[in-house]
Amino acid sequence: MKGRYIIFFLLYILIALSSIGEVHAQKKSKKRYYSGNELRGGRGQQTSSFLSQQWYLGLIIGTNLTDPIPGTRYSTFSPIDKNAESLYKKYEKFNILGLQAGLNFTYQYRMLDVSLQPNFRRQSFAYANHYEWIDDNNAENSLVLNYYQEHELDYIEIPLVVKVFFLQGSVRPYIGIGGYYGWLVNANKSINVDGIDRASGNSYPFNKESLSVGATSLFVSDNAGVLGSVGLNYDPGNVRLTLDIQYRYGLVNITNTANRFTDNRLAGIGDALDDLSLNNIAINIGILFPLRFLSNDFSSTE
Amino acid sequence: MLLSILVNACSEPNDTEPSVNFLKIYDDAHFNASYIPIDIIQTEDEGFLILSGTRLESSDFIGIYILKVDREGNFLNDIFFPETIVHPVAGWLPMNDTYYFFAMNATNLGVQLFGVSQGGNVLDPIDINTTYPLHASVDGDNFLLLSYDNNSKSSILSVVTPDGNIQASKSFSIGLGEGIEEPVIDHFTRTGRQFPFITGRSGDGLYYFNGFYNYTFSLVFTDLNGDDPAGVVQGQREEGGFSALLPLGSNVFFASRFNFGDNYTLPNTSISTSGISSITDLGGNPALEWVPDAHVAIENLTIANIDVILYASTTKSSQIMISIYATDDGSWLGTDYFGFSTPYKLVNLAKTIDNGVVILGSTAVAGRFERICMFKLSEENLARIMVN
Repeated sequence: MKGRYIIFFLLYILIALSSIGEVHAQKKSKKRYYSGNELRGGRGQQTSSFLSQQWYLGLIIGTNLTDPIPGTRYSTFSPIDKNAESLYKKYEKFNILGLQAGLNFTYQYRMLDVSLQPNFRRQSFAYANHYEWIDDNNAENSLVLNYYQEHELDYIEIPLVVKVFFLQGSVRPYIGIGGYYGWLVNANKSINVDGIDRASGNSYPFNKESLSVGATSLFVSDNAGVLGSVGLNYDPGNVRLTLDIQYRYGLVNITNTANRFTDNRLAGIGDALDDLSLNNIAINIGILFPLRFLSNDFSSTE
Repeated sequence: MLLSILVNACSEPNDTEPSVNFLKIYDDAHFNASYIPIDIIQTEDEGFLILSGTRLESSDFIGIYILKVDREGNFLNDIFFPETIVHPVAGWLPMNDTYYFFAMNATNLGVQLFGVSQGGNVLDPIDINTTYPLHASVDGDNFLLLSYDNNSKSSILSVVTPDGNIQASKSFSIGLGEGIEEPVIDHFTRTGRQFPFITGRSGDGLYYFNGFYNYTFSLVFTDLNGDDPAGVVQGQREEGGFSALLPLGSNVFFASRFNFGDNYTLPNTSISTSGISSITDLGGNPALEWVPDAHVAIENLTIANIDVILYASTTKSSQIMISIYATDDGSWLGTDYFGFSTPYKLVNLAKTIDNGVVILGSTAVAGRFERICMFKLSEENLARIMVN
């Protein structure tokens, strides 16, 4: 519910920037005049003024890698004979590919872009646990279990990015900053178990079948953060191609603290989610189409 | 920073304290370690004391293990009793800032009273002049103790002071004949069925015990004066009887019973405290999900301003099940289950300071290691069960 305010806030910024651009352009155009379709008196300035702003609509698609950042650690296991830190999960950084795809609404004003990029994205991360039980009287009696848990989180997300361009021309590199707000639509976790059960007379590793369970209730319904991006636009004609690399810094603890233990179907094997935020690297490619001045007389480039 | 503040302001609240609800499993990396939880109580520091048994290689009886955990259920410290002290009896008996429990001397089979201070120190044991403790409860400023005398083959109900003096006592013969005490001894050595021995005081002031009397596992009412019981609700030899009892007032109880493997709940039922009656006449709601002859715990509390009674037991699918009934009319309000893919067995229930409940249970870690577990549920968690 409160997330809507974020959207309204982002849209308001976008519209406000758009309005400023429009007013600025109109003020300048009042000093010019034209008859019919033919511009008179400084066509070059008029064209430049018109083309100093542009709206784009397009598609983006890409892939991402996630770095889970744990805060306070939790486990359902509380060891009575060793330090609780021995049960800390071992997180894997940037090791599982996720995907994202969405729309790109961009308003360009001179060397500045404001881009709203609603998208569906899947972010994945994993961690591992290691447990060991040993018979003090007979070291041959031992059991080693390794749990490897993968998590897939699907978000509908709305990033807002402000980009500053360095160069003019058909290839224009940029840097950008922004933020994002997302809604969790689904989450799943799967677990793989392997180990060695020497007590059963077997010294070879075993591998159990993996188990997948729904995990949506283990995570909060929203996520947000800030992002920085670098990339470049290539404008070959009346179309814009984009390559964008984003680093996203999560500001929200995505673990649902109320359901950490009660809704976790894998709690019996010691699993309880730590407080967790997600950092993420995403690479997007996109194709954008200009929404203004589309005619045979003008190109989307200046 | 501004964005961070904005994000936090716009996000749904997500700041549930870890002590509000949790599941904890107390694992021990020793392959042969095995724990048999018995009772749990919340201490003044909001942590918990867990009374447990542990299997001994040198004895048929179980040893004593006490575990202290913090308000979030995290392990703090523990005490393993010497193997000369065995068979801790349910349950914790809080009195005068001390948590008492009865246990047995492994050598002479005499009953001993132990106290644990708020700081977790074990006080010197007090010998009680009786043998084979079966159950104990708090009765005002004293304790009510059910024990067994294998010389006279009698169940003995005693009022014991915190100093260890027996104020009043009465013995009730379990019967004579070969093998009559076998179920009792098997209960002690855990080689047979674990019987739901119970002690308490009914609403009309009579003492009661749930135990063996006159060849039958029965509910016996007594004023501890007359030689004969004031009333007896007979079970079905050792195959039927009450599995849990909670007195409400007069002769009204919330109860459950087992009968040749079947289980029944008896919410808000009247039980005759005089004369002889049969438990099968009480009927009850069949609890088909429960394991045969299920162990049951009953607790009363107030959830969302409604007085309710919680029933907890173990299901055939190895989950812990809680059912909630209205105190005033015994109507069913909701049921929930705890556990998935890992087996859990109910041991006991206890109220918590924040008006929630803690469920003590046992589980098999990695499918083989017997370990203590506890579920802490908040009042909100319980209220959600009632809504459903």
